[in-house]
Amino acid sequence: MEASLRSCTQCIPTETCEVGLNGHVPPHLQCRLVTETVKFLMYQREQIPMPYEHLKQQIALQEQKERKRLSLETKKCLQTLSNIDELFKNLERVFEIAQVTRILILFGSTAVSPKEIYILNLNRLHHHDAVSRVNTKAGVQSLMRTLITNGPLSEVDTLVPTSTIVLLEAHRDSALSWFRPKVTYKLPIRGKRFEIHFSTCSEFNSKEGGHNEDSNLIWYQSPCSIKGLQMKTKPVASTSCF
Amino acid sequence: MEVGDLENALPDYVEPSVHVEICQNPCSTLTAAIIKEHVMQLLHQHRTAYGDFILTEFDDPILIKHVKSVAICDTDLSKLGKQAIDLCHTQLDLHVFQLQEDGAASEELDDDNLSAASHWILPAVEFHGMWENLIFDSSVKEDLLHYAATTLLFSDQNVDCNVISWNRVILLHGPPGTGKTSLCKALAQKLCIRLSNRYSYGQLIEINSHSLFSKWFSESGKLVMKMFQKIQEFIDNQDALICVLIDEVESLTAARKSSMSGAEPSDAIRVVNALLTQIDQIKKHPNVIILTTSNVTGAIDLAFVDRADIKQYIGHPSPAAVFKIYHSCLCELMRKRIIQPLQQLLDLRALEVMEFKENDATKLSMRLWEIANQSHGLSGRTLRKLPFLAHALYIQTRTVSLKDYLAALSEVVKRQFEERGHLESS
Repeated sequence: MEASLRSCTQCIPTETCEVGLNGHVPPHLQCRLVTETVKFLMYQREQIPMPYEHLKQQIALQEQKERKRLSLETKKCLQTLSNIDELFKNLERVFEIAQVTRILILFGSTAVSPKEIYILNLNRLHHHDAVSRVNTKAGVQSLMRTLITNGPLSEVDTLVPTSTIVLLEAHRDSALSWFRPKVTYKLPIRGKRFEIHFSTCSEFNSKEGGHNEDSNLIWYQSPCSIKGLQMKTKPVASTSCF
Repeated sequence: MEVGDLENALPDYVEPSVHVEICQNPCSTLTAAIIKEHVMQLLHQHRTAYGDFILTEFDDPILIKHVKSVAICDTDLSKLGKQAIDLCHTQLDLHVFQLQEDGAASEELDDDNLSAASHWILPAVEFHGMWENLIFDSSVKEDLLHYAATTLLFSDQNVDCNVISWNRVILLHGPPGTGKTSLCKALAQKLCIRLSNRYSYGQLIEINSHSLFSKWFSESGKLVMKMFQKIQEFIDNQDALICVLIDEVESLTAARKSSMSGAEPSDAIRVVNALLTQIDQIKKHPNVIILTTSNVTGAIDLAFVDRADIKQYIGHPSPAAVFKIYHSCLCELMRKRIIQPLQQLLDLRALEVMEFKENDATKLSMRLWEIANQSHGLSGRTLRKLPFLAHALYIQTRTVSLKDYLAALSEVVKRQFEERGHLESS
């Protein structure tokens, strides 16, 4: 029975897509690609009611209007936004000091029981022979193009607002402070799985495998999970009727 | 074969081993093997131990950086309890764990937004220290641990469950406030720590029984099914130990006999049926344990009671246990500088050694022993709040001496019994 179960875990239906970047991707751009994916997925999977930048603007307007008496909904929005910002800030710090091989974006109540798993594989970006650098704009554009055109989201059900949890895989000795190490964490077998591979489009890539099994690579989890927002009303419209 | 070889070949579990639980810092990424090595050195330096103790301060820089506490625990549960333990020669079982700070998450059943279960990843920071502070007279804790060990052993050895059958269900029953639910949670935590080399993490799923009843007729049974399907998904991950906690189990397993005759709709019967069949379904998995509690044992369906392997009655604590509870409460108050000046309060073992003779050294402890005898018949929950009530009703100052505190405690115990008398007479 055990053997059959094991083989079962290996063939979990996974949808994959590949983001080809033409050249060397510096760490700050890697981080940018990750944060853009988080923003995109949170909006597409209905965890935030409008795109991240748009939501930020709206809430800023809302805050000005309501001044001191903030409604509960606005407070919740602000909380979620500040959590996202904190995550991004700390991700930036991580990419500066450590080599991140994979990122997990999970939607679900806990890290071990997610409904959807998005695996961003950055491993191939570290093994490259490219000379030229990818500029930020081009990088983000090609990511968006892939996510929208042949991205993993074409055939998925709706998702109720839940928590978004971000984990990253890095070396044991990376000395990350904000992210909490989860030494025993393994990729969950539950939930729908999507993989996004980043590659540098060079020949070097084909020789290098997608992911290396190194026991010194461990997962780190962000200490705050981001609660999904459920908005009954559109922020600005709701106040205009009062 | 030499005699020496033969000795080596003999199994080494004749002597009970001492369990050492090592709480690793949440930010530490050191491997368990390295930590174990350093802790082993530390324990060998200590040489002997008398009963349980916890170390939180170390000289070794690695331990300072990576380890929060090293605890030798549950020595009183094994035969080792009463004598000094030679740490260099006894077999030590080291368990390294990291506390999870995530808190409870709620699991929803798919169609509606109602939370059907709370879900913890163990070992969780909320349940830390719960086990030590649960005090029972009989060997409840010991039995439960041994039960879990046997369950594991039988599953590992693939004992044919058609020949010998066990259901992985534990039922704890007894009056309210005696720590049944806490014991379930603490047991789950303890098992996860003890089995950390086998399961990489544990999960505690506390089912909200009432959320499994639907407003639609005949839907409730299906909700139970859905809940267990979800649990099944967790169990499929063989790397995790799953503890399912059903609190107040009588609401899910109301006796079918009585509901058939009364006004109860037949939907309630379906829930019981669904639960029973589901329990039979999941018992074949090695990594699951079902913990249930109840106050009203008479109302539980017999078929469910029959399925429970251990039906443990948890009653009110005896004077000895009451003494231990008060002792831990007063020690905590002294640590937090509410009781000042610090005075020594002997524990029960020391009092036994002194044969309960009153002298200057034992005076206060003997007073506490008196109060403990007075308090017999109160539940654990009440006992734990009495020191609080004593302060609120009779003391009301920032600091107080131990003698005055004991006087207040005695007063509050009397008052508690008076109040209970009033409630019963009205």
